[in-house]
Amino acid sequence: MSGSALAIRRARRLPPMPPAIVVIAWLAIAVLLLFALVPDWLAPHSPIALDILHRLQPPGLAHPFGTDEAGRDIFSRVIYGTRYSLGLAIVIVFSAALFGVAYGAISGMAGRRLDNLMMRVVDVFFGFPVLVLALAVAAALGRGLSSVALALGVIWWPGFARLVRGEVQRIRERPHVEAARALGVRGVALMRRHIIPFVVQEVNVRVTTDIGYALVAITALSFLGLGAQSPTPEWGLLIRDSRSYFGDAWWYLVFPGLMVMLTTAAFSITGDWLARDRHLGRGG
Amino acid sequence: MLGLLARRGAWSLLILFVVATLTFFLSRVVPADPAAFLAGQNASPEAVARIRAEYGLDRPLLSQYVAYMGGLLHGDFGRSIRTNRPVAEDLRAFLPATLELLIFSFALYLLASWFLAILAVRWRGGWVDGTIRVFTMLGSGIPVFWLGMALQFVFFYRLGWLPIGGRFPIRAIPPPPVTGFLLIDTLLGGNLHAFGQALAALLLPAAAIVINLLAVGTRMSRAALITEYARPYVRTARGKGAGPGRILYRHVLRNAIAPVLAATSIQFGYMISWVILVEVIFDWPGIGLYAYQSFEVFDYAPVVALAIVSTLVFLVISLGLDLLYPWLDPRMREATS
Repeated sequence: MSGSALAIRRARRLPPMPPAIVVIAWLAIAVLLLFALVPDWLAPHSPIALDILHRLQPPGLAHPFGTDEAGRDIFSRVIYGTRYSLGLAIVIVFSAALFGVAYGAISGMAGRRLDNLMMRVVDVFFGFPVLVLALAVAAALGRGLSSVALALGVIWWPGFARLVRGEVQRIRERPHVEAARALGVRGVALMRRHIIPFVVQEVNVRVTTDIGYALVAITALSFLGLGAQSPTPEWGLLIRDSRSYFGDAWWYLVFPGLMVMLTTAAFSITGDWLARDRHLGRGG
Repeated sequence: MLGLLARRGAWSLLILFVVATLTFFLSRVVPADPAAFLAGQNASPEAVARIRAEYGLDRPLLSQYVAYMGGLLHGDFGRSIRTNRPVAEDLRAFLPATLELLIFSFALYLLASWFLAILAVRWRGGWVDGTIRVFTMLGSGIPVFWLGMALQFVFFYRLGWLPIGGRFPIRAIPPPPVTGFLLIDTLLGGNLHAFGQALAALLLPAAAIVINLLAVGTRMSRAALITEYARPYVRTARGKGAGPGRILYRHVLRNAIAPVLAATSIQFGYMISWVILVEVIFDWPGIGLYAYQSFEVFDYAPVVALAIVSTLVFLVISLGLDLLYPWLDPRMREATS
């Protein structure tokens, strides 16, 4: 009796297990990262090898996700596509976060006039429909994933800048920052040691959920023909290519779309979980 | 009130200026040479040079910029290389279709999100509330362009209930244009059958747009309703014997709508972006499809025009929503004046 009670008490002292759905989301992200890093170990077929005799085959043992109009294996194309779609989403969000955090931190620490000016610039980006601007920028730079990356990076950083600036202004009023100031800590050192560590968690949450949104934006622009070009197996381009065939070949539309949705869901579930956790470490 | 209007107006002009400037300079770094494209594959260098001069592409960048901004002030967006007509004329032809889809979707969005929010609050915490939350969240997780195609698959390819795309059946005779909005023009002509056809064409594109935004809309409306229901005036109304219907429609809803409306302009920004995607999927003959088809052949002026016009629409709508706010909620009038 008392032994089991003790065991329960011990178990309670351990940090709580995340709910099952969060664990599933992590597993999904792990698998996706594997897809992106070592697709050639996992994909059963080449993503670009043509096989006209087996075009538009429904899902079966040989081709779990079916084949496309040129007989290419959709399962393999989806696996190889992870590198382009998810990989690019991660690159975009990380670079936007890097720039946005620096911008927001400077603005948050600056005097009123500079802060006002810097935030006005950020406000401009919230003044128009962002996808439209990304579309115009990507169209101007020419088709290709690099133009999409640049266009989305340009519209993505202001969100981070606004978030970080607000947090920095909140934290710089705290007693420990005042104490550090009184001891003569200034500038970059003050920022790095006493302010940024408290902003990091907020930024982590935002980065995680934004990866999903960036993925949707990339696939949307590729769907419009601005991003990846054939035969790159990027997910949005797969959906675009399926337009002429999906009436008779549902698998061509369904599986690339499911990949986009599952990936977005996995990142947004993880982000929500991080956000809930965040409140524990907020005392500071 | 006037101060607010002036401030917001000046800010809107600044944003338009930034968008126009940005798109102009970007459009001049296009790697593909539009003049060479227009002249055709076997054109002589002289022919390309002549076209370049005709479209003003040979002048210094700054003088092109000044001429371009001057033109914009007069509503001149340049010439489309693809249609060989002034872009402004093309826009006039295609804009009504876009606005009709946008306004229809927005109305559908408001109706659906408030309807779902009222249901959710009525049975708060129960299975209705939970089901609504789960389904709207699932909807927001589906990319708009994919959802559009999935709807086409189910309602056109499988069930055959609704058209796959277009604004009006190709072989049918459209109503004489009065407003440019088919829903209104068919009614003005008294042609109910044509009205039904126009409505059927609108349903799938609008659904693809709205389903994506419902989760946020319903959540905001639900939260606003719950906040209002907790206020003392509701208890007073109940004490005076007002029924649940009267309390909801005469008291709570009125107070709940205003704060949600202010947050709705962000949703509207997404809606404009989704309209462009959806136009491409459903062959909807609006400015999004027009810009898309132009871009496919490296004709850039329509893309720039799309960016400027959709920014303008967005600014006008958010300004309108901001002005609607104090009108709906008298408490806000003092705060803004």
